[in-house]
Amino acid sequence: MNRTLWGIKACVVTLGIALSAVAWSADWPTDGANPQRTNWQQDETILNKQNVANLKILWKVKLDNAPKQMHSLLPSLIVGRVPTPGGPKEVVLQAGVSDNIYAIDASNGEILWKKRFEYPPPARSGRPTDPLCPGGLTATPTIGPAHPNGARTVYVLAGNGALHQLDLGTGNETAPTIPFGYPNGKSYALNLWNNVIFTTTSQGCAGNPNQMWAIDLNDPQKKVMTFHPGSGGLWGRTGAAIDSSGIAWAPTGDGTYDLPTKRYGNGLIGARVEGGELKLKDWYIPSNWAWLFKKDLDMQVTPAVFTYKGRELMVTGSKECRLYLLDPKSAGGENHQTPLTTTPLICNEEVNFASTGIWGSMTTWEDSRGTRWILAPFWGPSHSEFKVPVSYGRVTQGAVVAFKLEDKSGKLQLTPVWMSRDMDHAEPPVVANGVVYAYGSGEDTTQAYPDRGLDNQSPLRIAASRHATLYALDAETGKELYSSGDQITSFNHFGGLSIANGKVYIGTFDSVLYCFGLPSK
Amino acid sequence: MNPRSRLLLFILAVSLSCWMVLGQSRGGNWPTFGGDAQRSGWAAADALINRDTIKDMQLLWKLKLETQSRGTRPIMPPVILGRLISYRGFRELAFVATNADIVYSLDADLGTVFWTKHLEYSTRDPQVMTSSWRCPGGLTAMPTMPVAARGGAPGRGAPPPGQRGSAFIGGPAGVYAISSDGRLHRLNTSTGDDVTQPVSVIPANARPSSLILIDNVIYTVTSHGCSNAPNAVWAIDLSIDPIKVRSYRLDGSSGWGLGGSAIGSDGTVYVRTEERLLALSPRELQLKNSWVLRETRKEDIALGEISPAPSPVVLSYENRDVLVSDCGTDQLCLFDSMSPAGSGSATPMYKTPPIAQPARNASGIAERGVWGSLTSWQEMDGTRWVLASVLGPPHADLKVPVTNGSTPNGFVVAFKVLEREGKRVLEPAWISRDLHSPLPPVVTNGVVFALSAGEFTRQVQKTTDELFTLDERPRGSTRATLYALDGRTGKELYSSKNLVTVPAALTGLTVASGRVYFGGADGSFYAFGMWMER
Repeated sequence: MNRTLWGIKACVVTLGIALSAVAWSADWPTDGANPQRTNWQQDETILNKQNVANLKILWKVKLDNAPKQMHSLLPSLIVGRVPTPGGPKEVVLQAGVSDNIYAIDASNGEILWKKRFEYPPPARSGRPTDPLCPGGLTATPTIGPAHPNGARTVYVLAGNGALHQLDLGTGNETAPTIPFGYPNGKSYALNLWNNVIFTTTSQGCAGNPNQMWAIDLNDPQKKVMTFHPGSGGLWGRTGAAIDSSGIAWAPTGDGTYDLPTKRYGNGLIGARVEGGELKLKDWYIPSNWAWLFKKDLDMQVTPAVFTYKGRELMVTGSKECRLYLLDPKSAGGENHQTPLTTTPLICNEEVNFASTGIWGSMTTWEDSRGTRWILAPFWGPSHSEFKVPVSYGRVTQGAVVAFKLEDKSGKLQLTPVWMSRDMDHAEPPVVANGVVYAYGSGEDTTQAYPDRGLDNQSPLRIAASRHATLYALDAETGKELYSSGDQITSFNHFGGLSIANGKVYIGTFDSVLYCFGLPSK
Repeated sequence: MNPRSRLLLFILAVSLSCWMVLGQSRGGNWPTFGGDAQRSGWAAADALINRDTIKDMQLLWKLKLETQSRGTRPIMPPVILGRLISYRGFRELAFVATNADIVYSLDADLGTVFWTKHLEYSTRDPQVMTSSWRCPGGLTAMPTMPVAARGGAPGRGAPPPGQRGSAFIGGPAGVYAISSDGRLHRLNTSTGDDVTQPVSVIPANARPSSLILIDNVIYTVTSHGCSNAPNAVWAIDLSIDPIKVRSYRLDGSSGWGLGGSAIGSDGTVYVRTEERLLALSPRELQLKNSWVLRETRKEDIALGEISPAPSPVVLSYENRDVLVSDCGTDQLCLFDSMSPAGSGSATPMYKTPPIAQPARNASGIAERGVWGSLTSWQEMDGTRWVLASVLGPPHADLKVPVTNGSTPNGFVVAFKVLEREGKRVLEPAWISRDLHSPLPPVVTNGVVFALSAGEFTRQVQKTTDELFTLDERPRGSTRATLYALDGRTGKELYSSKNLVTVPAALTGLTVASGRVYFGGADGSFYAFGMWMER
């Protein structure tokens, strides 16, 4: 009897676990995992430190997306359970720069549906061979919350500036398109907050303004709201990060700071929708902004917003290669130039504008003991004066560096803990279940040459690029747990990692989407 | 103020603010001696230096460069390239040539060596290893980068229509230098490598003055007949392949102002010789005009080679060039560039009273008078100023409303260019504090930088009428001191006091992007300026 009862209990528990795994699964619905852009997958239960060494390519799919300049596939989005005509599925939403959208079955890599946005060629476009202005679809889409029936809406900004709303299960348009930007303007990852969609633009592509954009989906008029920082370009890789008050924070890249003329270049601006307008609420400008400007060391890293001991904070960086910890309630204090703390220079001893520095976005996570970790990727050699307790050999091409956020007698500080192995242009990592997934893009980032100076041309860089490599690292020590070696055969430019439900995704320049996972799962 | 003046002032203010934003953005250029084709010595706007901020000036960095013991001019003033997008990053570079046939590229922000280029001596004529005051040997010409013609773009990278152009033009901007073997080098600004094979353009071991590259022609002036090289004006035409070198002989009369030639808005080449101010046609160097500055006297001939004649400066008024030069009698003269040509007797528009106290005898001639080059700048209200650096005390006839103490050793004198009864005049405005062997000043944002070189200028022994030897001269030298003066009053706003420990090289100053540069007689190189947070 007891044995029978024990057996029944075991079956119930097992069934419960199995059902919960199916019914409750993780998502990666937006670039950077969430509106705060933490790059932290909090719901991962399959991959862990013990098994991640067994990662394999579960599938890869070659998509019919034509690269533009150096751009190809944007970071994947993932929804664990989507109602589709073929039943509930875990769906990977993959956008390609040539205005392509693919819904892919995460279990086997089969394309469930695909869509290409067609429109007449815009009158204006970027310069030929200019990697900065590829044109086409450049903003990672975002996926809204589940409707009562489980359906999900995908928001996609096509290259002609039209915002589409698609049903993730079928690819059908669910609403008329909304004008949201200019054709071939270079928009960055969409972010959705309280039914407001944000994006940012930069590089003045096709003559378009560099600014922050927002549109309230509840507004019947679908008024496009913008805030122009007066200088610079907003090219944080994952667009704007949004804090708990709804302020969207975005870096302003290479520009000047001049309050009388309302120029907020080389800093971080925070704007919020109020009364039908996108209004500047706060900003942070490093006190050495003029130096950053002179040396083209843009503030161009999308910040990560997080909570530490009940206090909301955010962290960002720049090509100069230091981190800034800021309070979103008063970024930079009264003078807008005083961060809570900064780090010493991590890299870029040469003071170079290309191939070195922090690029893209930040990563943050909290371990089970409540320790808050901040991670930053960087390109190029580590700074000779940057001291970190744990490292893994000489860093010449790039690495990921991890800090602990600590409160020392009321003063917050970022304490270096580890620096990863050398990576060929380390890109923003993602974290899940105590494992850091990082990658070297293998991209050639050369913009200037000894014999001819500035010559930033896509064909040259594509020809000189190598291949991306995925790494899994112990999040507490940085120790390498897995490397994809040379399994990935192409490079990746301004792409990104995504992870959910035991699978890690990375797309490459040749429009191949790779899915890494554990074969037995 | 009438509406037209107000409009002009507004336009000037807007232009200035735009310039300042630009300057703040990524650094200004100083492509040749004096900063421009006119040899004005004026950086029109600087985002960091002004009368209010100058108190914060400091010694930013100094470097010891390799030089040779060849007289008082071991280091040339730097050419400044405000922004180079190089394979090693955005750089503001100072290209400094030394008499050791070396061109250094210094990172102006970091105070480090970006690259070093040794210009190999490679010609049949043996290298002159001896050195004298007249002919120090080694590299003597400040390098150049393309200089903007007035109101135009920097020297265009394409040859004139119908011409093929030499390998010395086109592509990324280069820095041009003439090594002591007389060869022209075009150096890659990113690496220092010769972009093309160096070409012999002037005699080896000559003494060329500062180079200037404008409209694809490099001009220089050789003096002192060193190694039997003719004293001449040289035009090195890069727009022809192979490059063509033309010269205009100065018939034994040297023109050895620090700036060499000044270029007018129509490209006319102005050169001051011992007795005359010449106007030569661009590129071809045909004599267009000349003004007699003084009659040659027999007794001058022996010492003519040590008389400190300054380079002229060109001012622009209502689409017309006005030249300012000394008149050979320690007076400054204004010349109308459009005055009747050819006779050699054209008279000046205006002549100032004598400026410098004359030497009592021939042995003191090198210690007296206006020297080096002249400086000119313009205030936002349109007031035009002319400045001169003077050796020795002021002349008793020089009446100046503002003085700043006695000046037994030397001074900078400032004149306003005014219009009186339809005639332009130079009205004395102020005299600086006492300065030892002051170098020609440079100006930005109403701040005048004067360098008391601390150099002992006497070249002739008082007792024997013999020249001092190389070893003797530095013994009498003192240390250099950099001063910042109010451009309107000459009042001292900053002094480097004892931060410089050696005399300055007698070559000149450069100002760009919040920094002032000069070399020391011992091969040290100084950058003073405003600190920028990194």
